[in-house]
Amino acid sequence: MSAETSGAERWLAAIVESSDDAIIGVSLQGLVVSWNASAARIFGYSAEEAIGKPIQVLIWPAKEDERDVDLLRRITQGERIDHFETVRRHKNGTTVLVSLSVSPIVDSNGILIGVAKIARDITSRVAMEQSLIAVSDQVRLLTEQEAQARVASLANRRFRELIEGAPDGILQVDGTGTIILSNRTAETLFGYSPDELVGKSVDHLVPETHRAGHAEHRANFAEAGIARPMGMGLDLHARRKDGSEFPVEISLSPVKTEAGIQVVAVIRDVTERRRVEQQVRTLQESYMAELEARQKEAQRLNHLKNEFLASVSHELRTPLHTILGFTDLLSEELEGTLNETQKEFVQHIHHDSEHLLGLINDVLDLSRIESGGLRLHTESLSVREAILDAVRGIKHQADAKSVGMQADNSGDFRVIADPVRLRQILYNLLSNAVKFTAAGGTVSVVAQANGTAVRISVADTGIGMSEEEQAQIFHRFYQVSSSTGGAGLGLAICKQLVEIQGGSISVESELGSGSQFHFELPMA
Amino acid sequence: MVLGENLEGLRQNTNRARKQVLIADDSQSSRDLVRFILKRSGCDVIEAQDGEQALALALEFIPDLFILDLNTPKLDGYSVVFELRKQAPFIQTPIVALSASVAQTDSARIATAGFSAFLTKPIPPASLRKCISQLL
Repeated sequence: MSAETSGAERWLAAIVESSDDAIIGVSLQGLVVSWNASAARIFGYSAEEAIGKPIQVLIWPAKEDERDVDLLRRITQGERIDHFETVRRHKNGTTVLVSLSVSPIVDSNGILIGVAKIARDITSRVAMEQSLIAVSDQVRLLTEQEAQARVASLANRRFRELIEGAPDGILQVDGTGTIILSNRTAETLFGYSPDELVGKSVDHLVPETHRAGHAEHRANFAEAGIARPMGMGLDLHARRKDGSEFPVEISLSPVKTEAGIQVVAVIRDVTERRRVEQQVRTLQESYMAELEARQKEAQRLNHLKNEFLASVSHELRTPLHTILGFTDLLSEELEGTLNETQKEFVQHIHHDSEHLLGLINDVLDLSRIESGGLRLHTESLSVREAILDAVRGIKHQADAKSVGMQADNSGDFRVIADPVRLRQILYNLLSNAVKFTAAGGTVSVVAQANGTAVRISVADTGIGMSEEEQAQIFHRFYQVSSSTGGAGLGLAICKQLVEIQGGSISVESELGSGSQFHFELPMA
Repeated sequence: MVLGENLEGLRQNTNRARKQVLIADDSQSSRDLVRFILKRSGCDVIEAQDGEQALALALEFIPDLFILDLNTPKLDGYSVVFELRKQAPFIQTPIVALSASVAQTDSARIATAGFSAFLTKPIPPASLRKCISQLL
């Protein structure tokens, strides 16, 4: 060996010795050939203890790792292994985690003579890695927990704010009746300073008169466990710190806690509401009283009006009757003849007087019907008799005009109607029929059944009316021709009378041939 | 109040040639009308203003026919006919009812009250004469 070579060798040896990593030379037989200081440090064996010993016995773990076995094979095939992380054993039995680099040693002829292993102790690194992971896990956990806690705290605060800020008083009461939670509103409502209510018995807030039953109610409620308003419909009162009482509405809900079933009560001060309710009631009463008074007054006035109308009508009609009578006498010329002009005068007087009489009758009738002042005395009536009656009443008018009257006596129907009004309707229709029929014509009355009603028809062979006239005929004041007298109210009255008795009225007509008026009333 | 000649001769004379008709109506004009209508019918007309007077004059003159307005004051037509029918001279006497309106014409009630006939105002003079001649 030259000086240079030994210098280079010395450098190499120094490098090997000063390396932090364990550098181990192993013979083909597996015996340790070289062992550096770091090997001693890492594995616990001194050079003397290690050299010449089988490496596997020294530092391989008890349980053979097949990767290590495979390692040998690969090395003998000339492969180089780098950063192979595996487990080795310290002299004292503890586990050492290493990262191995293994390379074949060949002689100058290229023949494999051994294996060089460089082992880096990665235990601490791994440990540190693991503790770093653990720490980061913990940090993550803590961060999560903290985040959750923050969220919970925020939710809690918001919830608290909600409770505190609620417009109604909120109390939570435990099984013994002690208040364990109260909000600001409750404290203000009952006149206590903040937090003064917590810890007190809820009985303090109940008027003395009701305390006895309250405990029982609480127990019952806790058992039933259904959320509900307390004492619905009752007049509940609560008691303030100073002893004064005020009206309240209370809603209760059960709440399950670890300490058992507790009750949350929401309390509303309804003093204002009760006051307003009372005001409304008072106002209502005064309105009702006023309404009643006005109704009475209206009824009184209506009654007065009807009485007035009744008495006035007689006074108004009487003179007209005599006017008509005397004009008739004049026309008869029994007390002296009249010239043509005088006859015409008399006719005018007669005609207008009839007109006036008709007006009075109709106006009074319609007024009474419309004001509801018409009282009906409905009963079961014989239609045949009503018809015969009306025909008898109109006979002299018909005879005077030479108009024939026919009444169909075959049916024997009964209707529910007011006898006076039925007569009025029949008389009105017959009177119209006669009025509009020329001498030689006929007016007939027929009654038939029509389902649950009786249909009475008054037909004439008179002048008839057009479609437009038929459409208007039952309207007030409508007149086919004003020369026939009357105020045009007759048929309007008939319609009203028929309808208030639960019936209906209609007309069929042909201009020039005649008209048929039909009305129906409920069958008895 | 009585009109017509020979007042004394009219009393209690059932076989008289001229018939006596009593009209009871509170309207003077109405009574005049009836009087004029019956002027040439060969009747003497006795006028009463109200129901009470009608009964008094009835007893005094024993008329052959009555024409009673149903609305007379003091005693209405129904009451008068009721009283008349209770008394011997008038059980069969024709009594005509005058009603003022169609609504008032309750023919059933009129018939059962004892009237012999009824007419509704305004009465055509011819109708009244015909009615009277039929009844007398």
